[in-house]
Amino acid sequence: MNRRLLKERLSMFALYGLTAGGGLILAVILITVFTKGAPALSVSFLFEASRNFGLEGGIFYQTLGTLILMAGAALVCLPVALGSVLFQTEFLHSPQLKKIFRLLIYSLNAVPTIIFGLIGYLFFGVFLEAGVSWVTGVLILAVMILPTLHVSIHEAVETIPKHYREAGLALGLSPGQQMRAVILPQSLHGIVTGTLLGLARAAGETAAIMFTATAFSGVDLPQSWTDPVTTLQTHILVLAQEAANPEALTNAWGAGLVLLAIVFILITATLWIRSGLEMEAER
Amino acid sequence: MTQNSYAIELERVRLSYSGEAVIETASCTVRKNAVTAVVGPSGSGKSTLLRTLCRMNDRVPGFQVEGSVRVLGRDIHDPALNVYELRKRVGMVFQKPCVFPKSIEENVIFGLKFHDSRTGRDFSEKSEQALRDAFLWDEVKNRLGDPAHTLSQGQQQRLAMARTLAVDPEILLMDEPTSALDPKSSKAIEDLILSLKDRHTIVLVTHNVDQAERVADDLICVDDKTVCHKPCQRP
Repeated sequence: MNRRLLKERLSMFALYGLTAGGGLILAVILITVFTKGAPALSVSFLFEASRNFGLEGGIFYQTLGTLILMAGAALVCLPVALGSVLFQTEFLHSPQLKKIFRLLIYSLNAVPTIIFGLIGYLFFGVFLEAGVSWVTGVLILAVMILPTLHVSIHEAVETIPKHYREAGLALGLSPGQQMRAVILPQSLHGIVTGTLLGLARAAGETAAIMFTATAFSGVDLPQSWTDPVTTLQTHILVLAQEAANPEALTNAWGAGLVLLAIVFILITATLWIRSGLEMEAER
Repeated sequence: MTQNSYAIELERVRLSYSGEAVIETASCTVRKNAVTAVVGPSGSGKSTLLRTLCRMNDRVPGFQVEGSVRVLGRDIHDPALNVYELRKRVGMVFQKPCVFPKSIEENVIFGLKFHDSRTGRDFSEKSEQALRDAFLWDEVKNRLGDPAHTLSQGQQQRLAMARTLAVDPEILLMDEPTSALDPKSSKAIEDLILSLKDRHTIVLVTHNVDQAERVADDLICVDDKTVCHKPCQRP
């Protein structure tokens, strides 16, 4: 075997090894969560309120709280992300300003989530007097998932085939009409993908909402703007601290499995919708 | 010939990208209700010249127009001019047929529905007329709801023309509309061009001199960064 062939084989082996390693880590996490969480799952676990600081009962309000924060964040973030992308692609002409805008968005993506929580709480919670409430959580998560949505929508808008834009332009469509007729329909797959990925990111977030939007127990559905919610993430955190109690740990794994299932459903939906819409757009 | 007989008038026009001239000087006119062919070698700036007439290059970085470009009696760079209205009156058909991922009928009314803002509008009559004008009606009248991409390339190009005609432009700019088509489809487009000149002024960019001679009343030659000052009218 000559030297070149040996090197090639070794690099292939290293590549396969790294890929398998990554896959293995993921598989171990999924199998662990599933095997440890599955015993906790039951209809009553999913649809009952938790009792005795989560040691008994289910995770109904925690799941609802997580869904409220996720949906709220997406509803607030989507118009802002869409508006900022359209401003950047359709109205901002200076390449320098575009570059600065992109830099800002990518920087926002790199900010640690606890900083979002801190600044978000100071601004929304203290300055705007929203306090520790689900509204504060929604707004903080909305800012946090903004880069994810922005990048995904931006990519979709930028890759609209030039001939579609030109055909719209040549028919005398104004920028607003061009957006409605060409840009939004042609970038729908990016909008849907970005929103679902943003939701998945919001679903996994704990630090930013821990002290700003959630209460650990004794909370059901929020009755007013200023009420906190309880979420799966914080529920897991609290139960995990009771490591000595096997029941608490089983419930924590169960809540983890439900959270993972929510994210898994979102990601699967993203891939499915994306491939469908892309096929539609490419026709 | 009086000034009003011209749909387009160019006077000492210089077109450049980031200071580098594509066309150094262009002074010419286009007669109303005539077919004017713009001919010249590849890369000579024919398409740039055509796109300038409906300000399609407005957002191209570094693109600059100097001199006077008058279309339908108005300076198209007048700040008071509504550029969207200009593009509605000066339609453009591109080299590669472009249809949207919609039905045939939706493609025809794609621009029209935005320009006709009356409520409860029925576009079927206008859509039929546009398809008839584009010689496509007989081929698609029983399948108007089918996706437009199921049409052949030649039919797609005529559909793109029908979409432009539905907006009722006074001038039609065509950028090598037959270069991606087979001879039979090209012939159909040429017949269409001849049939449209009674109602529209047509400017056709082509690298095919034979085609220009077949369909054009006037020729404008672009070569070596210059445009013939006066159209060389056919005898």
